[in-house]
Amino acid sequence: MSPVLRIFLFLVAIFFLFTVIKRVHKGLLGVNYSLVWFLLALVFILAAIFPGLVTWASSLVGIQTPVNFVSFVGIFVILLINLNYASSLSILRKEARRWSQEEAIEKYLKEGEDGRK
Amino acid sequence: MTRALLIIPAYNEEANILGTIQAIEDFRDKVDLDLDYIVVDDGSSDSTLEVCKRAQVPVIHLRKNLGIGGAVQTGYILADRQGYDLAIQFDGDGQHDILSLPDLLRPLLEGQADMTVGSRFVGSSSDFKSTGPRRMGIGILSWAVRLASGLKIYDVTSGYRACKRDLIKHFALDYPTDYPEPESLVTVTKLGFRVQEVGVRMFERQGGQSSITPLKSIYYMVKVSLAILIGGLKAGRKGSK
Repeated sequence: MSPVLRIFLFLVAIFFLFTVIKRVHKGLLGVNYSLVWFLLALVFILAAIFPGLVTWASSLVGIQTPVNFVSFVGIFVILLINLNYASSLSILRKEARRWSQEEAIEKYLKEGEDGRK
Repeated sequence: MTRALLIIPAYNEEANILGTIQAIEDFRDKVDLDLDYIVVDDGSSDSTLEVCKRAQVPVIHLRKNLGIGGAVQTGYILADRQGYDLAIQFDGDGQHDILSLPDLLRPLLEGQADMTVGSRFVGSSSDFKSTGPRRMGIGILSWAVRLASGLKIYDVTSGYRACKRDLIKHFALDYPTDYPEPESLVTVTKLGFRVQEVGVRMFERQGGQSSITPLKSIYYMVKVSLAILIGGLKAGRKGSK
């Protein structure tokens, strides 16, 4: 990996880390979600500091250039993160539906009671 | 006496709902059953809710449209909470014939089935049998349900269905949202419940507008079939209730 690329990776990772920390600090990002992003940033930093690691790993899998390997890992991690979001969203929608139903039933039962008084 | 609840989902049915209710009222006294009904207004944008309230029809108002699955589940939650023995899904648009109700309930009361599905296509009692393309579509969905669960039922899209206590409890906790009619049949069968198809009478749509246009149909059929097959992957062991 060229020195330029390593510096670039390192800077990107640091910037990303900084953005994530700022969001968590402001309460805009839950700690749980932030963990994965930290992991991703860590992978980039490691790749920048220890390019030998990346070369070794990519040859293991059979990918020509280390850069491609880093990209591939990045994309894969993002896919996993998206899957997490899809799951969270599905659960949230189920819950929201439930709240809506419960509220409607409570209101109906209460009106029935009021009507009988 | 056996207590039954008619769950009547309604979305923008201001034109038909009172007619449907009247038919039920006329029928009620003729049958040896403690029959109640509840309209579930699924976030209608018309005056369905007002119409019901003015006529003092019991109605649950969902602020936001949840779809047929969500609306019907609301009815099941109520049925479960109030301890009904039987729950029947009955369309608010007047397409279902209340007079077919005894036929629909008989297998349940006689212990032959845990759930019954009212079909337009079984038996000669049906007048309105729907259009050709629609029937082909239903055939495809029926095949998908059979593949996913082994259940051999033709009219898997019928919203005219009834079930007993065990299933009321189950549906109150868990009811599919996307394509509830066929999906629920798959789930229920895989859990070991017995589903039976019963011939019932259905009418053509009177007033108002159907929410399924012919154009959506083909795309819908393919999409729903896939969803049914994927839904078959969900948890559920035979015999566990």
